[in-house]
Amino acid sequence: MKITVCDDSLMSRKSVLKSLPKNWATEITQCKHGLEAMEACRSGLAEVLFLDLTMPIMDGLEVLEKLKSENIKTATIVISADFQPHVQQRALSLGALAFITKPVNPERLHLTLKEVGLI
Amino acid sequence: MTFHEIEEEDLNSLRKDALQEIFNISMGQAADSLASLVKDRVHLSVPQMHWVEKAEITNLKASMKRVPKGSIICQPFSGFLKGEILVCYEKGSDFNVIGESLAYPRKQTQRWQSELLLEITNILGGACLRGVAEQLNIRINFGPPALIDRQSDVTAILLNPSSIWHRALMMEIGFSVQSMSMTSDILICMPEHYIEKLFGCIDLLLE
Repeated sequence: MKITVCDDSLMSRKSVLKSLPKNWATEITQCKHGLEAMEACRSGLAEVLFLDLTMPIMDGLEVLEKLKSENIKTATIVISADFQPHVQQRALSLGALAFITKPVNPERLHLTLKEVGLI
Repeated sequence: MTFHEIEEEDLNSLRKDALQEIFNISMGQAADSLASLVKDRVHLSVPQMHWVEKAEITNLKASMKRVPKGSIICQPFSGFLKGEILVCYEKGSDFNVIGESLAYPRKQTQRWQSELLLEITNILGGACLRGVAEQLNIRINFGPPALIDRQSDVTAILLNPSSIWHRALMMEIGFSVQSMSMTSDILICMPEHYIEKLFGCIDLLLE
């Protein structure tokens, strides 16, 4: 599975990477903001995208909007510190498969991946 | 497995990144608490970290995203970490919504404004630092919040001779609530003396 992790925080990207199921990801791309994530998605590097929302340059909701308008099929899981109801609804209505509240942990991530049928 | 790696970063920027993210996660929890009270979305800015020398406070002004001016509430905290939460509320907020949520008499919301500001500070500042304490597994106690000024800019308050520090770490977080026309900034001021301990906890997380 080709995965992309997009978060402006290195610590958060690392905690996502540490929480992934073993031997599941075959190719990992890290991005610091939405523009980089869009590049990764357009280049086919993101069969699964783990996406933060609050980021500089281009935020996560903008990425979801762009993926939708460009009709790019990427299974997106939002991992965000901002988990207010409006934000969750907006992300899911824009096509995110699931919403995980930070800080992420392996149990929660595995459960979510199972729920959305990715493992 | 292929890695498309981002360049390696040095310890200080790793610590800075970790601290900003820890505050970001905590502010998310704090914003959710406030959002459920005001029944509206709370907009947050990405936390900014600044090292500040008291003698060079103008540098802080220059590096801040915004230097807010208005009613300033100060809430001290102590325990493993010591410092002050300063929240600056710009004029022009409509407190009816939050007043109602907190069961204040509808007609007298303006009269209760100062008390409401103290409540909001307690909710936001308290929730934010509790989140930090949880993530780092440390203990933090809070003093009561107090209104200390009605019209200064927030950096002027830091020069107050009663606040004893020379060099400090400041976290700057902006938040706003559209339905209340509220624009505010939180500055969390932690004197240098306590930061080594804080970084010790962060290094454990980064291992």
